[in-house]
Amino acid sequence: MTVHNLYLFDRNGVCLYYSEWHRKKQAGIPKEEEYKLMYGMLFSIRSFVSKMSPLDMKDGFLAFQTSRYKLHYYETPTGIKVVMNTDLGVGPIRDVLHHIYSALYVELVVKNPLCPLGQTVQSELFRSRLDSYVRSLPFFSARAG
Amino acid sequence: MAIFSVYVVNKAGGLIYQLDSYAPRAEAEKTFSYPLDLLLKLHDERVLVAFGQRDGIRVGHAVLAINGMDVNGRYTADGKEVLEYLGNPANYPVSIRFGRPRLTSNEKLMLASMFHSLFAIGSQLSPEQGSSGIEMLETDTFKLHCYQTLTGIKFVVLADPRQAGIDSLLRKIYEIYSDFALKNPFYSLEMPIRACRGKATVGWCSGTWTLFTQPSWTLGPSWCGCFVGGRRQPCWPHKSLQPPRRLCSNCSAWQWC
Repeated sequence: MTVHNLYLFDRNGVCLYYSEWHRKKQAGIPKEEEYKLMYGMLFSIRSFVSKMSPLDMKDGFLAFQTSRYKLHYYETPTGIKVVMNTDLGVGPIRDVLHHIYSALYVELVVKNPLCPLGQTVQSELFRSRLDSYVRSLPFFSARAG
Repeated sequence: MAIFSVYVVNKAGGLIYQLDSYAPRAEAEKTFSYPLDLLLKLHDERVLVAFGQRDGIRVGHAVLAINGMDVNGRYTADGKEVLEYLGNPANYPVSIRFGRPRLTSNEKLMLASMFHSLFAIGSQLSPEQGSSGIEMLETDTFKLHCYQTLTGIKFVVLADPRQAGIDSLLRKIYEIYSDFALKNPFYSLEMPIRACRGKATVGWCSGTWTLFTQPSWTLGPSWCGCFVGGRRQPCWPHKSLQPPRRLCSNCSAWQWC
């Protein structure tokens, strides 16, 4: 049970933050391209899900899984998207992603007058707090398993 | 026990079979007086609610019927334009039914191809080696399960989020596909599967998932298969074109309707 990586996107598709912990395979394309591909995939999945759904949706798309990893998704009403790739054994972690947004991103980046919004987050405090928070999660194991 | 729909997608991403098994549609019918407090706009040949939410009517809902008569896209049953009709105060009070729009065949084709691409991108962006594509996609109203065979055919099932046993259903659908489509000498690979076995529904029989099929019927009085007094007779309740008995592909027995 482990966390592979984390992406943070804003409403325009700019990747605000990316970090990885246990990633075994790179995408084979440059990082910028990978962020754009990830954002495009999530945008398409959201539109796909809203068309396919038989009933009116409240939370929308939550997660998807493949044979090797699970992608968890959380979107705020302002368009900030928190995306976390984990192992298959991890259950719903919507509250974790919400905490990353509200207690870390909003507190340390949005409320910081020196952090320009709409660009990649450079804040060292945000990086270290996020890293220690993710490492403290119950489903994160230091040994990549 | 709710399977919403089944899609079969070929290697190239084209939809070859689609089945809507059960669709819980949230619809609301209300009587309105002039002026209408919802903002309607035309989108994709349908009249949708653009603004204004009340009493079960949400943004994105389409106009399904006016005064009890189903609308045909942007035109009413009489051929008048819906927006013009609703803009005329002389037509009020009017009873309008709103609900989530049903997908047209074209839209289903496009969504199936879209899923085919998303499946591949899910595999490419994997942080782990040797990942497959998207096998399960979860939302708060439905769960989408996908099984890709070794030959590249994808079987996609949309079901209730709490529904269990979908993996075995996907394998079963694969079996039925190979039995009825692949073993049919007139079937061309990767082409749309014509409903040569008539209508089909997904159901539960004898402790397992199965596909109920009905033989394609011919027009005219048909023998419904009901036995009256030991002989097959056309029974009056079933004189319609709809055959009343269905063939269960699991136990290969006729089931009473």
